[in-house]
Amino acid sequence: MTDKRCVYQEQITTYLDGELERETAAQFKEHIESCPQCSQELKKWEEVFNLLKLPEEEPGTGFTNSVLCAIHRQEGETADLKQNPLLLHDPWNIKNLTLMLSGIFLLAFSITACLVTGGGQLLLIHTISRFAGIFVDTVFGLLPEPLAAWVYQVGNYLALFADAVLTGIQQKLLLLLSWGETFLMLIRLLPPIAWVVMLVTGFISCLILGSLLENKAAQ
Amino acid sequence: MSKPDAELIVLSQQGDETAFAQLVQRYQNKVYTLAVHLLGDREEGRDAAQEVFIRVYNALPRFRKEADFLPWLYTITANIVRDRWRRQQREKGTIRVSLDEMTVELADHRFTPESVLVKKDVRLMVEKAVASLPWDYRIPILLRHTHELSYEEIADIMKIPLNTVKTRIRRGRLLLKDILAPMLEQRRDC
Repeated sequence: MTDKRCVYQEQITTYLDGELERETAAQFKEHIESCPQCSQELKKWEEVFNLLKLPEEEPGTGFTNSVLCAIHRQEGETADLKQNPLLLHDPWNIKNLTLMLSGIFLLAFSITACLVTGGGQLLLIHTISRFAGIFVDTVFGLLPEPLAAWVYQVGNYLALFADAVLTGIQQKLLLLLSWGETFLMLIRLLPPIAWVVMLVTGFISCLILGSLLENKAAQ
Repeated sequence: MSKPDAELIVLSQQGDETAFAQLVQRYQNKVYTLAVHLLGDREEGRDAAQEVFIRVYNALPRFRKEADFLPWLYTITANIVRDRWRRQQREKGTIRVSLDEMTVELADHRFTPESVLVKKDVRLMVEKAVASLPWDYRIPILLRHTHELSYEEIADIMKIPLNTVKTRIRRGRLLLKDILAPMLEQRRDC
């Protein structure tokens, strides 16, 4: 079956939009008078266009007042929050705080575990020192000779100091953790995959908790 | 004599609540109508319109004096309503109303010929049809037909190219014509 669709049909909506140029519009009108197919199609489109002219609606009495009341309420809440920033009226705040605290806990837990379990012992500190050394050497290379030697010396002392501080922190950490024998043993026994599982589970739990808090507050 | 928009905006920016109330009264019908037609729900539309004016109030200090107020208002309305619609869809667990289902539903709707002639019924059917369109087609169609804006104004409000607006309106119209076809035929038969 062949499609006998008239080419002018493509122009119907443009014509009704008033977007056809004067000359093209005149040709279109002339064609419509002689083509029943296009004439019928134009009527259909005119009906659709008329139907789509939906009337303007009113939100009802008291709408302006309800807007102003909502703004006053919002301003009151903002003032309360300014007076007491820890006020957690907004569920979004509770959710974010929960997620942030959980995130900090997970991060601290992972770094501690990495340092304690052996894999990260000294490696982390040495890696940082190495990269810092490369950076410092590059910068020193750009300085004039006597100044470079002096800065290099100071830099060396600082690096030694930083190394000593970091090693001290690590040792303190090891000492603190050694007090909790069970905890330390557990950490040493856990394979890397267990860490991944723990982190993923923790993250998902945080999301579920946040979502539950949001839903509860929204009810 | 009512004050022009620019004056009301400046007064509102200075904290004049009466001036802001006048702005709300002036544009509440336009915002409410657009929100209702986009969401297909009067209650939701009222809430959305209220949210729009609260957002406007908060954003008014940043509004540039030389800019036009109405397109800015429409942009805020479209953004807020879109967020609400997405939230609704997530809560319902549905992605999008199937157009085919909508067409069948309208075609199968056994309204009496008398009811077809009732203006309110027709309007509700058209509103339902518009609300069943894919989201991207809904806003340009409504802004063009109900709010009688030009293609350029719509492109400016939606922050999309002019040709994209034209394409979306063309496709939206074709979908609507198909959806409304059974109703139009019944009207013709009456």
